[in-house]
Amino acid sequence: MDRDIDLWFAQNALPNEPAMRRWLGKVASDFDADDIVQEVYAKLARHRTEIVNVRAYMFAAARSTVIDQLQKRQVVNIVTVADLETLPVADEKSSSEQELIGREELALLQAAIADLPEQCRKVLTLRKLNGLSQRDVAATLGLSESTIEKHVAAGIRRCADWFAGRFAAEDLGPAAMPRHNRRGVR
Amino acid sequence: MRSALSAQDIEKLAASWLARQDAAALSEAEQAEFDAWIAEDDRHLGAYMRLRAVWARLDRLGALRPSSAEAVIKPSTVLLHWRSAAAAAMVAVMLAGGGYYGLKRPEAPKTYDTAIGEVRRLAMEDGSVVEMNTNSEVNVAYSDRSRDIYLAHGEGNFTVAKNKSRPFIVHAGDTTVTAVGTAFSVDATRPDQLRVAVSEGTVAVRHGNREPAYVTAMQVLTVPTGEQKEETPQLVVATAEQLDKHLAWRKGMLVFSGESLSEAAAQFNRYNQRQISVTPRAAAAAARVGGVFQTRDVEGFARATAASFGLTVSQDKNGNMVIDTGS
Repeated sequence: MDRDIDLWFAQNALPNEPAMRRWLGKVASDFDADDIVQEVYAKLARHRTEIVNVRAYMFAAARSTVIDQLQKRQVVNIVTVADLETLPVADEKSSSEQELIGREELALLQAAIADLPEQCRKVLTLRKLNGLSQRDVAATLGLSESTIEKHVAAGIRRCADWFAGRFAAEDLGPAAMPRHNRRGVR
Repeated sequence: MRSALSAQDIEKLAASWLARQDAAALSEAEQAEFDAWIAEDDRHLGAYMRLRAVWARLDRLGALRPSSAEAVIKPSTVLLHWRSAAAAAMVAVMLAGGGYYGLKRPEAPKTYDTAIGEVRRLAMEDGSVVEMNTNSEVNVAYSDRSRDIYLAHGEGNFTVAKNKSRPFIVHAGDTTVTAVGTAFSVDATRPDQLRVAVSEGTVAVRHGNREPAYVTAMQVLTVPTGEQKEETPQLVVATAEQLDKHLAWRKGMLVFSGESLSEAAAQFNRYNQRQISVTPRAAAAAARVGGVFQTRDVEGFARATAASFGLTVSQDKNGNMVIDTGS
């Protein structure tokens, strides 16, 4: 049940996130994109079953979140409001982006995993590829369970950065390295 | 209510909660704390759901292999490449080997399924491992007396932890496969037959009122079902290569060694939304197919076979491929 919801998000929301962030960077550059993305995901969670076109919904939700926050500001930049009207609704070209599946997505996963610090990568690999429980990962690596839990938390965030499109997708490959790590993984 | 925390801090908390839940079921107090945290601010819910999606996405790691760059391999080089892929898989298995003991948390009776193209690995509470192939569903019902798995549809591979007093029983239609400690796979994807392939130990296969058939390592039993159910099951001694081939899906691969083009396309269609169809005249023109392919690489497969056999590939707007003769 829960897993179905997670897969729905993975298949429908995550692939649209980079485009939504790019749009936010253009029209709402003085807003914290992470903040808006979180609001959008909350709206998705609440209205998931009613949504027909997820991509269009995400852009509309991002826009209304920005407008909400604009209204709370003392000074409003006119340009921002004008730009907000140019909502890129789901176009034909975007369907390929919407289906970030198969090889492309695997390349992304591969890059995300390769980018993790060694210990963190081992933990995520054993947990996800080998299907070990966190407890068994701890036993296998000779680390405490709380350390494993910390690696899992850090690893999820780091991988989420890749799905957000923060690291250049065009230089994916065995040698792909993030050019700007926003944060280190302990 | 909006908390004063930054999006980054919220994400950090969401990741901690997710990692905690992944470690063990939350205690009652923790659960209450978590529920309160989620209710406190929409962004908490949003950050949490987003990370859950990323975490679920990581399940697809199983499809990653060092050899993924060589998605299409010419038939003549199959064995060489296949061996290196198998070696990589073995390392993964060895890494895992030390870990399957001392699992304490019991698993409630549960349904698990895989989407098309998904392969999923379940680590059971007794140390057994169930690997589910594409488009499959299993129901797990463990009790003190037996470990029952119902294969509703699809295909599974079972690596069973030894426990003589608690047999491990896979149910598929009217057939049961009973093991005490062994490794085998059950393929229930065809309406007319059920296939049990054993890679280690012995299993007993019971079908309707028949005497049980015993299948040991390196054997494949084919049980006729549906309209064919009165036919006699066929037991075949398999080579290591043949068994590997049956189990290649566990490594995200399809192995062909002389299938017809139509049969190979049908195998691909099990794993992908994008379907391949082969026109009758193309099927007639094509020779037998050999090679190792990634289960998701529909396009690579279609193009490689078309190029090898002098056929054409066209694609409709949904990405479905049609293989035809050029003329």
